Amino acid sequence: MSVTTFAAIDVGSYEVEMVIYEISTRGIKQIDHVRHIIALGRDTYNMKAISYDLVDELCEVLYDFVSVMKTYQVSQYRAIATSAVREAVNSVNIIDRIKMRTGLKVEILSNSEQRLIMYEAVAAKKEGFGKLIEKGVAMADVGSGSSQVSLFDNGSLITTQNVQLGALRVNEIVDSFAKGASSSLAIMEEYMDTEIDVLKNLFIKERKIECLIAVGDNINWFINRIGAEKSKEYYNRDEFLDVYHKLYLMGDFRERYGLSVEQAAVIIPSMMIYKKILDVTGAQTMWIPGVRLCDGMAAEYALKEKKIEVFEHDFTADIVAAARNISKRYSWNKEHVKFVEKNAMAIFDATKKLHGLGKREKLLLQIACILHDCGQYISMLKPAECSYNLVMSTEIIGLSHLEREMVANIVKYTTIDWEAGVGLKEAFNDETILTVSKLTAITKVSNALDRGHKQKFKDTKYVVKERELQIITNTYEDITLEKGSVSNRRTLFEEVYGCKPVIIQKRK
Amino acid sequence: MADVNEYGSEFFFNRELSWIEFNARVLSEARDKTNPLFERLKFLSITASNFDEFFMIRVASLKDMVNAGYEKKDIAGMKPQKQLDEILEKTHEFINVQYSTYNRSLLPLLKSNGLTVLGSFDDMSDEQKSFCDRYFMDEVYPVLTPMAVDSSRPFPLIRNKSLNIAALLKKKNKDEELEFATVQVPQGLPRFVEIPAKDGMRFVILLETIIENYMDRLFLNYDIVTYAPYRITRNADLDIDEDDAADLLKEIEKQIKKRQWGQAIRLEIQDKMDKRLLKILKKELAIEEAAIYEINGPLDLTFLMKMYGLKGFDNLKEKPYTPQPVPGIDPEESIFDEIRRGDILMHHPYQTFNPVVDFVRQAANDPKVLAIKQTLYRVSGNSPIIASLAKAAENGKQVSVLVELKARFDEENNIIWARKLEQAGCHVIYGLVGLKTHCKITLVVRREDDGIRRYVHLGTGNYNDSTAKLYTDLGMFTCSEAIGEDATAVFNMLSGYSEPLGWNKLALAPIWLRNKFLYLINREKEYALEGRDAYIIAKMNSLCDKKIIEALYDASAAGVKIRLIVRGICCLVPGIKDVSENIEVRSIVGTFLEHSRIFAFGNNGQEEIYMGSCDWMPRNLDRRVEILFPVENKELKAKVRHVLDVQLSDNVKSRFLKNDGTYEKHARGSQPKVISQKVFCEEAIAAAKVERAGSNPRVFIPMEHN
Repeated sequence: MSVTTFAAIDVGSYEVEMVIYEISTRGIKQIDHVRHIIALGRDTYNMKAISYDLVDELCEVLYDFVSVMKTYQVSQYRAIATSAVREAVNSVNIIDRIKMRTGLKVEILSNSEQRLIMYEAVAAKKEGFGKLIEKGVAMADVGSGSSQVSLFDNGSLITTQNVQLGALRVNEIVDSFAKGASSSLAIMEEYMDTEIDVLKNLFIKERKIECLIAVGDNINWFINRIGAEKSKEYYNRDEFLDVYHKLYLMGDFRERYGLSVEQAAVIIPSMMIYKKILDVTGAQTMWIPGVRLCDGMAAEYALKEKKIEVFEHDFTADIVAAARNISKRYSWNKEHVKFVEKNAMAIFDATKKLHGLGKREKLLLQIACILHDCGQYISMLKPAECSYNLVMSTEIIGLSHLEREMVANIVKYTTIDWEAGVGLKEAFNDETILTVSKLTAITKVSNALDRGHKQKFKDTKYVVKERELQIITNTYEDITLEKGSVSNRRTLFEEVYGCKPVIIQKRK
Repeated sequence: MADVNEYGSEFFFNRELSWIEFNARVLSEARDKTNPLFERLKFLSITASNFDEFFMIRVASLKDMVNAGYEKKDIAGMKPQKQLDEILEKTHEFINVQYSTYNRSLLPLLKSNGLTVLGSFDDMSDEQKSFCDRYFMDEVYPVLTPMAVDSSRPFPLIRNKSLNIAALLKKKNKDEELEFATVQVPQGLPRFVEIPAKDGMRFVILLETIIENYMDRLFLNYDIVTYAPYRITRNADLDIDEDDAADLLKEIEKQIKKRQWGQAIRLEIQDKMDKRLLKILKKELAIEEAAIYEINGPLDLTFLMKMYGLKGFDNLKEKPYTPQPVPGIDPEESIFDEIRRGDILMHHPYQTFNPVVDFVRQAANDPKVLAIKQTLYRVSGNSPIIASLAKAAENGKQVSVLVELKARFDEENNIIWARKLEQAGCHVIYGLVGLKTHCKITLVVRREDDGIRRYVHLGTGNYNDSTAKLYTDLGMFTCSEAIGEDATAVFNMLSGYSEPLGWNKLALAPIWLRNKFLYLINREKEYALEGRDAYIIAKMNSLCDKKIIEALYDASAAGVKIRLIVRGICCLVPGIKDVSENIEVRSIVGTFLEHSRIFAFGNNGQEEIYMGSCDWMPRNLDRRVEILFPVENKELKAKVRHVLDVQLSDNVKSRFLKNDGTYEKHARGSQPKVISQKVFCEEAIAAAKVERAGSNPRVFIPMEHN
């Protein structure tokens, strides 16, 4: 049996950790786990940059990790950094120094990528995760810098929101004006309440949430050490609150549990965030699966490289579902959106040989179609700009920042002229610009086909013949408007694909 | 955490006095006529070396407390000065018994068995005298360094535990004042010499007796007025401030050198020492009256251990015992294959320690092994384990070794091994700041066809193949995944990574272990309160942790039946009405040093058995890294329980603690003798025999010639 040894490294806000996994057809097995407390986040959140000494310490720890990897003869690894490094102004230098000193290539994850990995970790943990989210379920991933709250229902993700409530961040902020105050915990609660209220009013609303899935490093520690027995994963509301109050009233928990100052500082704020979310969702049970980012990386790796079925859940569908939910909020013409999406998919498939793009690009195209006219919600004068901004400021779980920006640009140029990449050159490299242009060419045509918003094109077939993309449709309706529209919008398509979209109307 | 009642000081014995009691038990083995004569010498020698250490550490630290004006009472309500007073008083009594045993029982018995220990040259034959003469001139004289003291030569530094002869001298033919001189009895020479036999009798003479006889040859221009041997014991308690010690290794080296010169806390002199000599010693060593011990016999009886090694006299010694092979382990086979077949238990020294040595040796040479990690506390000289670890590193394995530099009196040794391992390419960790690493654990990570598999050895005793022949200890091999994960986490923690989020099977001091024990004791109490059968059987070296004792009192009061087998110090008072009536404490002192720690809890019929490296002492639970591990395999559990049962049925070497702090044997009546250590020896031999019979011995069948 082939066994791959995989290492996952997570450079977090107050600790770095590495988990070594064995991945085989039997599944994913954790074989070692090392952690080192290092408060990178404190530097970032206070001073915007990570200081020399901490970077030095980080490199040393990572260097040790490399030797542990060697011991286990690790063949593949993935190393990621989250908000502390991401938000540090010297992030590029940090990554470079790590590379030079340890040989490790650390990638900085966007928030949405990071959250997706966590979400994959949860999904990989439990068979029947799909069943659990048939009902209303919230997932709270409390980190050091921020927290992510996601809502599931009917088997898929409905919405997800990043709130700027992170254990370390809250602690640092409250500390900065109420250090040592006897009421500092009360102030902390008050500080959180304002953010939590927004969450309640805008995202949770009247939704019925039965279970809260709680993930994050601190809750894993908390449950193992202060809670009942090690393997207990399900807590009902009262049980959790009991343990929470035990901690809240325990003045000496740092000494009692031998915690470092860094770790002790984040325990109470993070538990408070979970408690607030539990309160605001009204969930009666809590599932604490005890997973970490590294587990998600291993699951992703197993799926991608080894083709091992680690999930029974479809994440692409989640990304699409999340996009649809955003679209639902802003788009007024559902039928039009559906049409554009459907036809764009068909054009994509028909032109495969011409563009050579893969599954992931198709997903981006789909999301762009779903969101392509959301800007009209803000302004009818400048819908393209508004769409762009809307997409850019919306969390689409599972998309990297780069991908999100690609989608935003596709959306933008769907309705305005493609200005030969002016403004794109700064953000993207040539290859990415090419991809965006290929996808935009498709959305432009697809959108033009429904210029009248009446979905006149039924049973449309797309065939590439010689230098033409033949759009063969059965319709008796007058498609003059659409024909004209396509011929106006086809320049980009011709430039990119070297073939001309031609509408052939068959009246049967 | 379980709530435990508080108990007043009358519910505890003082630990130092309890320790002296323990030595009284060893001494009574030296006085026990049913023990072979040479075994009795050994026991007497042990009491002597025990007291040396006791003075260097415990008495020294009490002295420090008194000097620092530290007034805190111990759990028995005694201030340091009061403890010191009682210790010194008891020690004087103890020494009297030691020497009356030596002079009145052992010497005459040796003589009647054909061995004379000569106290002077008086009754020597000419042959013997000329032998001594030659021996002195050839061997002794060249290494002697007599030192005189006068205005230009200050009083020399007298080494800790060294034996010396003090003398008063007078310049020949002059009427000048007396001069003081001292000479160290060389530590590099044997303490006694066997000289030619006479009329079928063998003779030995102590080195200092020989030197005394030739004193005039050391100080040629002087007359010797008087001379007498003396010996001092110094404060040797290492007190290292780790926060200041940037380099622990260097700091400890420095302290070892210093130890030679710590404050003198005991002066032993031969009785009838000249008053003038004593006065000089007292002044120069700054020692008080109560710390002076006048001794009727040779100073430092530890030489008796060497005397045990004299050739011959086999009929006066216990038949030497050879540790037996462990059933289930064939030295020819791969130890990893055998462990995969199931957990393996070893009981040392009844069973051989070789499998543990082999485990590391095979791991060092096994191409599938990726890493070896081990904690080393006290290792033997020339340790084969060290050699294997070095070999493993050379073979490219990742080897991590935690060498505990703070293991008392072994620091010097440990530094040598640590350096050796580092040179070989091992990753050596020098203990944790503020904590001694006392746990005994070895982890071998092996990459097998179906992935990583971890093999773990856990034990109650040190990885020391020499003491493993003398100390009774239990060890276990396992490749259980749960324990393997925990073992990995232990080493990650020891290498400075954060503690794991939780443990599968192991309980570790200093953070988790105390609560685990309190939980287990309390659980028995709860069962007793529900009217169920509840019991605890625990075997350890020392019991002096207040919280644990209080929990035991609570449990006993609730009706838990508690049987304790505590070899040494026990601060718990048994038999107090309504408090400890259900607690029975026994101590077993035998040929082997009882060293294993076993803890059994009734758990309402689902008995749980744990073993580990820790005693129920505050230092074990709070200031050391210790491991407690469960024995879960049914077969192994039965074996460990059997060990406890046999010890509980020992009616020869067991002594029971009374509530006045003394110990006594129980009358055996008509019951057959049970000596637990003997039983284990016999059982180990029988088991090895069965194993041999069971296997198919290789037989070559000769071809018949037709």
